Amino acid sequence: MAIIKKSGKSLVPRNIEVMVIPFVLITVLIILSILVAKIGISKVNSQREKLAVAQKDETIFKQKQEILQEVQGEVLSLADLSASAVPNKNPALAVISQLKNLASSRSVVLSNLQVGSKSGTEKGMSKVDISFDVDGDFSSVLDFLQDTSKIAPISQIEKIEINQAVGVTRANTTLVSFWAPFPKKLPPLTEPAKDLSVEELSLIRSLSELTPPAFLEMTPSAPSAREDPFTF
Amino acid sequence: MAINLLPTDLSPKGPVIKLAKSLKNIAIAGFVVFIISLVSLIVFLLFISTNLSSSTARQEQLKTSIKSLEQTEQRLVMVKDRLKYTKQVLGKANAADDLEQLKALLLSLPESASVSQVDIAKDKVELTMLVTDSSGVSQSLATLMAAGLYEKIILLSFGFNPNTGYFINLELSN
Repeated sequence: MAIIKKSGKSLVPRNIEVMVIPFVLITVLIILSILVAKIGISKVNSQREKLAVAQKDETIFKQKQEILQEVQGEVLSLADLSASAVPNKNPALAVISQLKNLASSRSVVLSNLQVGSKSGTEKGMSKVDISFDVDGDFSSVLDFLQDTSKIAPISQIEKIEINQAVGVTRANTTLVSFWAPFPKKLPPLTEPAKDLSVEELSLIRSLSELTPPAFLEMTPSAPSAREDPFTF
Repeated sequence: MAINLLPTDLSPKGPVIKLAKSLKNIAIAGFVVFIISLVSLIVFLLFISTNLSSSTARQEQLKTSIKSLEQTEQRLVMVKDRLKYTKQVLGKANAADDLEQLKALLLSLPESASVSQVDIAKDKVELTMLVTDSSGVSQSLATLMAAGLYEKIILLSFGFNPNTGYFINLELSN
């Protein structure tokens, strides 16, 4: 005011002087509004984005929890069933055991069993060839061969050569069985869980009709207390 | 009578005072609106922050719950993985697929015909038959045709031996 007033008389015209305060107020208001709008809106937007992500994650977690709780009771048997169909190790032994059981139930004779002369990998799956001869009457041999598709681990017949002589049928068969390593890691926590689809459920139903192998895994028994052989 | 001692050119003019007052009023109204907006913004931010923190808390609870179900998740992942491979295997052609129909077909051949060799692969069947008489040959072929199991029936070889009869070698495929 010292500048604009000199010896008690204002240097600024009165007309302008009365306009100063409203202009200053409006300028301050505009500056504040711009600042608040800039900072506030960006803050609100970032918080809203965070909230949207959090709510999406929450929905995923909730859905995952519900699915897991829903399948909790039955998933153990399903896991056993599916693992017996496609095991994580070479299933040759289990398949041979199944074939032998099948042969005795169909009254045919199994011979020349050979395993794995030609094994390979296909789309993440390993396969092993099992070849054998099966002797019996024509009908029983065909029944036996048909039944190979009803055993677990799942196997497929590559080729069959059937020869008949004097009422005895011999089928030289090559069968392929499959295995694949188990998945090593779980999907990320934020990945939505998928329940078993209708197609998967129908696959499970068809797997449940397969004859499981008589042995799956031999678990070592826990050490037991040894009795003293010298006490009578 | 009051006398105005101020010079008339120094006092602000009427329209200017009016404009100044209007601007002042606009500024005050603007400040009121600004403060209301600011308060609303703060309240909204607080609301979002509260929602965010409660959502985060719920997430943590759910994560703990999911962690406790980790074994179930492992099994579910494994089941899905095994089913993927099962589907892959079952989708392949299997030489045993048509065995039942083939068995029915071979068992329906006339008595004079006997199957000496059958080679079954995924996409075709090679069949060798011995037939004792000529009517058996036509009957056997008619049975094969009537069954409609195979789209293509190719006669690979046909022979006659006076001791055993006719032998027919056929390739059956779809």
